Amino acid sequence: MMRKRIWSVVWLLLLLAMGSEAVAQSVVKMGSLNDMTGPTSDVGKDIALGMREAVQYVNDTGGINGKPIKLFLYDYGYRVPEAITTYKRFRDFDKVVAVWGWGTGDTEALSPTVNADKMPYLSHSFSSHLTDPKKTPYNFVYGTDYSSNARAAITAWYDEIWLKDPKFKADREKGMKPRFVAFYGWPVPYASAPIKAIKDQATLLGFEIGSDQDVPLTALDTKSQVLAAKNFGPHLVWHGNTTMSVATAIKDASALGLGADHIVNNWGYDENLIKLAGPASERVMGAAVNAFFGEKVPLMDKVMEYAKRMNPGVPLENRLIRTVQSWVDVLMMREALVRADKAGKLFDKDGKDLPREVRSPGVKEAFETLREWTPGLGRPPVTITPTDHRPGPLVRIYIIKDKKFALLKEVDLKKRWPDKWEKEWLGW
Amino acid sequence: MRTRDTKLVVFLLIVLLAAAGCATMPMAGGPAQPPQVKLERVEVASYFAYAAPPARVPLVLAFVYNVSNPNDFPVALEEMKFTVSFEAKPGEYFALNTPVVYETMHIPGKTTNQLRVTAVLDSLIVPGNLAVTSGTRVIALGLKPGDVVKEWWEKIGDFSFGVKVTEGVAIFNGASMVVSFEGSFPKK
Repeated sequence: MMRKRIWSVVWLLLLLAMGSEAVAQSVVKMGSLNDMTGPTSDVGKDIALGMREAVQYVNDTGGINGKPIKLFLYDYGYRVPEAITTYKRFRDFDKVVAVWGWGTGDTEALSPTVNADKMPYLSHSFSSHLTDPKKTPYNFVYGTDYSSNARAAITAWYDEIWLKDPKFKADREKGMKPRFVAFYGWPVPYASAPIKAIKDQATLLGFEIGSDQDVPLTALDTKSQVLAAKNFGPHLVWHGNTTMSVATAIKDASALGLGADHIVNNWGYDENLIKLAGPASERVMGAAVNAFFGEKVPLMDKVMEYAKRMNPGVPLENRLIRTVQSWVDVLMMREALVRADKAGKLFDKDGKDLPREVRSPGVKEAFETLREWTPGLGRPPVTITPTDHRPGPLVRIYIIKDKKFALLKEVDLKKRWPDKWEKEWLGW
Repeated sequence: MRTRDTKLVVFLLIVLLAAAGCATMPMAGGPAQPPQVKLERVEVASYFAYAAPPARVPLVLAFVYNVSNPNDFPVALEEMKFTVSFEAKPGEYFALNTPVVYETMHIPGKTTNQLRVTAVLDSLIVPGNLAVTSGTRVIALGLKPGDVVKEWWEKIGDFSFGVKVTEGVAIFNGASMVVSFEGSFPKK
């Protein structure tokens, strides 16, 4: 009898050991689509570095309730067909829990598939089209959407510059309306996504709107666009592209004496803009969804530590705000996965993957429980609900002064226009 | 009888503890040495003759690495990433691609394994990449992205321009070892 009991204890211990081994071997597979070679690689390469570094940080600090993330990160060169092909590999062969996506073109092209598959998809594209859960229930974004960025940028300029700055005193006193034009790549889904919203906001604030100028993402010369805009005499130009072509346009505008101020969407506004545009970058304003690389904010020490550790061949002075964005992206996903796992939606009791029909709604629901959540890193609080996937109404608009980014204004769109925020602006 | 059972329990517990201990026991012979990664050569893995846009011509290269394990015990390479740069003018390199591979490769102690990483460049994508990542330098050097691409595609068989790998990172044993590397081809 006694021996029987002893063997029972031994078998139990062995089973426990095997069980813990099984749990230890559970991994959370994640796919990441990145552009390291295509027309957004000026910002995409730093993002890719940051993704890998942030995942390592997550794994070193407990993973997803003890389970490490296994990351599959691939370049797709900003080509939609390649993104769709890689997504199918993630879904069918890697069997990832969720996907980190990149561009607006591919994220919007994949959206019907992602939502039919019920695949949680957190993208670097902040297109407003991805924020209405009635249309795209499995799409999430971690930064304020482009339309909110655009509305906030034009509002900040209107409040802080047009109404106050001596540069425009004479025009103000003449009773002139501020004049506005938009520079962006017309066929580029990222660049064109917030145009309707910024023109709506310009109208709301009483601007006169000039003709749009088509600027390719790869533009190395924008003189013809600047000269065309000059005929209209704008006070303000919106730049909707990524950093390189924005820098080109700002330099050309300066050289040709356009005389306008510049506001820039978040993917055109980073540390490289100051390097590339030089003195022409002074006074340029833009949206940033979190702190710039190296700013003194909570967790930045870890961002810098992991940049050095995981990519020692890349000098820290070449790193960008993009790295920090990747950390916000990864940490927001981690938060959702931790909550989903705690709710028993990722693994069964043996540590085996639950089927996607259970897992995916679990992750979606976990995202939708985020209330005033922030990972630090200068990211304003994120709230996501089952009826609104916009991460929040607070947008920080910066201005470049003496080659540095300074906070110009925090615009809380919900506080200022509560009805429009709630009832009108979602999803476009 | 009771003594015999107690001995059995103690014996089995020792076996269990020893087995558990072995799994996490540090290797004898001091701390692990970082493996070395060296670029052995670059090959044109598959060649398609250049054609002007709107034709889209791939350039398929294979990067062959020697991965050496100086330790007495095996290590597992789990992930490798590097940036590929081509020379456009003497000493002027442009980063074009950053391949990443995730195949796990176990390298026995005191052994060198070879790893081939295939990377594809696209004649329509590279000019855009040059413009967005290095536009200012391209202009300063008096280069035209389209012309540079044509020359690279046509001369790659002779390797008459330099190919560099930079920012290389190889990750071993669950990121307990992160090894950086660089290399160039042809070797000068």
